[in-house]
Amino acid sequence: MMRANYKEFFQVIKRIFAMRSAKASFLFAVSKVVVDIIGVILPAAFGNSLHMISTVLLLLTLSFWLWSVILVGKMSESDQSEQQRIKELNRIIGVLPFVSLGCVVFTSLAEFVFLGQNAEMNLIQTIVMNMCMLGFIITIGECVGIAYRSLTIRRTKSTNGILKVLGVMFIVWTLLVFMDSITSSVEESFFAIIGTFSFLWVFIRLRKIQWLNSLSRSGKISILWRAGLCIFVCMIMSGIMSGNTEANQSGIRYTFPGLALTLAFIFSITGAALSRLSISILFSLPTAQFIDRRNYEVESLIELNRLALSETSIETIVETIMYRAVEATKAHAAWCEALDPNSPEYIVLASVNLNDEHIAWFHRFSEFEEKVLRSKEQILLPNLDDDKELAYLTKFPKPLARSVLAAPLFSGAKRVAMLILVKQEQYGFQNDDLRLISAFQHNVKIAFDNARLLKESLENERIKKELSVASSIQQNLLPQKIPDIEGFDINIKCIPAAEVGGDYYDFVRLKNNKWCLIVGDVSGKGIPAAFYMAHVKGIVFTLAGMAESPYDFLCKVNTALYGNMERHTYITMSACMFDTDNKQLIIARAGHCPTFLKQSRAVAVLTPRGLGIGLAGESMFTKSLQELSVPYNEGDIAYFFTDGVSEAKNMVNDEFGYEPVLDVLRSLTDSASSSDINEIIMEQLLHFTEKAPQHDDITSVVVRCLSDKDTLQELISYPILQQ
Amino acid sequence: MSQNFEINRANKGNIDFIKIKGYLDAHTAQVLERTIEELVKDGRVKIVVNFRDLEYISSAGLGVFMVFIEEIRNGGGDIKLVELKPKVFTVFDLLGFPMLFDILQHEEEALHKFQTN
Repeated sequence: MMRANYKEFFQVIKRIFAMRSAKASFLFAVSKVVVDIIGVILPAAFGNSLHMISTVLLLLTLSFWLWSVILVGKMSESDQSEQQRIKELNRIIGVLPFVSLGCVVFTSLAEFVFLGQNAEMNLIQTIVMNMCMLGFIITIGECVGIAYRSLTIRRTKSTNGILKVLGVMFIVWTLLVFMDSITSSVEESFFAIIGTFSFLWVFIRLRKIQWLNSLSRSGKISILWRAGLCIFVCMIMSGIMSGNTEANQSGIRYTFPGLALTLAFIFSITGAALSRLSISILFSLPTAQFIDRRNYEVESLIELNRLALSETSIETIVETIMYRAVEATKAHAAWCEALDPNSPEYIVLASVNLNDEHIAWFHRFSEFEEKVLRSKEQILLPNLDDDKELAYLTKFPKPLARSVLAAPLFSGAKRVAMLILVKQEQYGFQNDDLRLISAFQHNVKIAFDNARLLKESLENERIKKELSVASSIQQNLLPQKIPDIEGFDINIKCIPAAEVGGDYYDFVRLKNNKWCLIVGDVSGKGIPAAFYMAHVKGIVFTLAGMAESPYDFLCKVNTALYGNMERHTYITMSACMFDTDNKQLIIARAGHCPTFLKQSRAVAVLTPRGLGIGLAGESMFTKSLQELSVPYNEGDIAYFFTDGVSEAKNMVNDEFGYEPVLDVLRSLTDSASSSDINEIIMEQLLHFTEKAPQHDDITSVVVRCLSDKDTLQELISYPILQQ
Repeated sequence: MSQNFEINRANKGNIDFIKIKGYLDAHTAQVLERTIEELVKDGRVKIVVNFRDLEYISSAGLGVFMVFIEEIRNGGGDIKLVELKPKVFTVFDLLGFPMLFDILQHEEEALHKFQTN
């Protein structure tokens, strides 16, 4: 750690050296050495003036160096966080005693070696003493750095005032000191007044040090130790530096009269700042643990909130809350297990300091499992030694637990997991812990709920996408274009209730090459119905070309499907062959809705017998199925539909029924085209249902038999429509 | 949905009466299916379903009666449907159910038929 401190210290020195003023200071230092050397070599050449120049250069070196130190302090104020600055301060405080002691020891050693030699200094002495001087300047810089930083870690209204007063005091002191070293006219008591005033000024004015509160207990103790050592060193130093010159004709004050007094001043200021810090820390130490804990709680809750917003994995949430809870309550071990209401088995989601075997031991005693591990609310067992049944947990090869805190974790109203914290000491958990855990419980509930919702919405999104793909696939299974069947004008409207449905219509050519319209409906709706619809499409496609007639076709379809579907599924289907040669419609109906036929003014409801497809085997189906031949004339209209039309419901659950459609058909004028008619029927339907949701797929087919005139018109108008 | 549907069960000797009420659609059909399944599992295969209070039946609801009919008839029993409202009967009729099931006016009729067979 010390090494890291020195590294940090040299980094700070390096940063100071990077400043232009520091380089200037270095130049002044070098010039001072040169001047001193000239003084040694040519002692009589310039007389007292050399001594003057040397002192001025020393002052310049010192002031430029201090200026750099303050600049660096300012820089870190702007580009480092408060935490980083506190850390840096702590490190500099840690290094100061060693640097200053090192300087003093080195200087004293040098004095001792040179002691007794003639008063005139030789070359080596001059260089060594100048090095000592540089060391002292750096030490002074250090001290100023500490004082400045401790004053500016968190600036307040009064910070600048304090700094200004200190600056003035320091300049006055230094000038006096150097004037004194030249003229010896200043009274000692004068220094004492300025020194004491500055000490008290810093000690009293350095009040706003709330930043100490943001430190953890261990951080505070670390600063306290270092500051203590530093204060001790500062006291010794200011003592040494301000020692009476008259009494002893040696010592640092004697060798470096100006610097020593400056050091004495700066040490007392630094000492004042550090004393104030230390006292504040000492007073805040008893509450430090409490504050630490509060800080940790806040931090944990922020973390949990963050998780609640972003995390979808229940495991991660559980793990985080467990580690947070262990850290906050200082529990020795903990685990979190998932609960499955349908099974007595438990699944360990995460654990600290416990293996599966240990956890199994907790589960061994069923009453404990029932009461604690399946508790519906927080439960605290403060002392397991009291409980004969549970005392085994305190004995196990090594004690597993002496106090237990268990809390259920909820998602919505559902208990999904248990968090169990254990301590190996009696009465290990306090009320505070219970309160904290319930705060965690709330947050975890939010996190779980959010995770669930997020997952659900993602899942929904996925299903939606797949359904839209399925929907477009199903749309493609239906004929993309109604074939041109000579003499017929056909319009179809198909509106699924959901993305996919069970309604089906198609045009196929039978064995005799005649067109046949098929309208079908798979029982049920949604995805299962859609699957069967696709299946039916395949079968219809395969069998149509082999069927002689609608009757034959439906029988073949039934034979193919009977026994190959779920038992409760069936299909209703109508087939209508357009026999244009004999001018008749051949209609068969397998359990499907009736066909409406309008001939001249009358509308008939055609319901030939027939079982739904898939309800009965071949023999019964064929026996029951009837086929109708209906001769048609120009202007006749046949209407096919699925129960989505007749069973459409309005807001009060009334059914649309057959009548409205029959009315539409009865009241038609001859000129209405199939699409007009279908439009009218759909309008009626919409008008009826209003805003009621559509329950079933709707398929509505209008077949209009054209007069020759119509056919002609159609042929003529066709190219025009194309434009 | 399911609160719109109710099933009441009663039995006379080896004949079970199921009275259904409300709306029988894809959702509620499962409830009825479970009821019939339980009976069939216990070997009770003479079942009379009373439709007097049934307001509506969907295509999925109709399918329920197809699920067990084969098993029941193989076991020497039957499902007889009684007291269908005209609207409900139309749905059965369109599908050709009268050809597959005994659809009767009253419970007594069904009881009588079971006893004489």
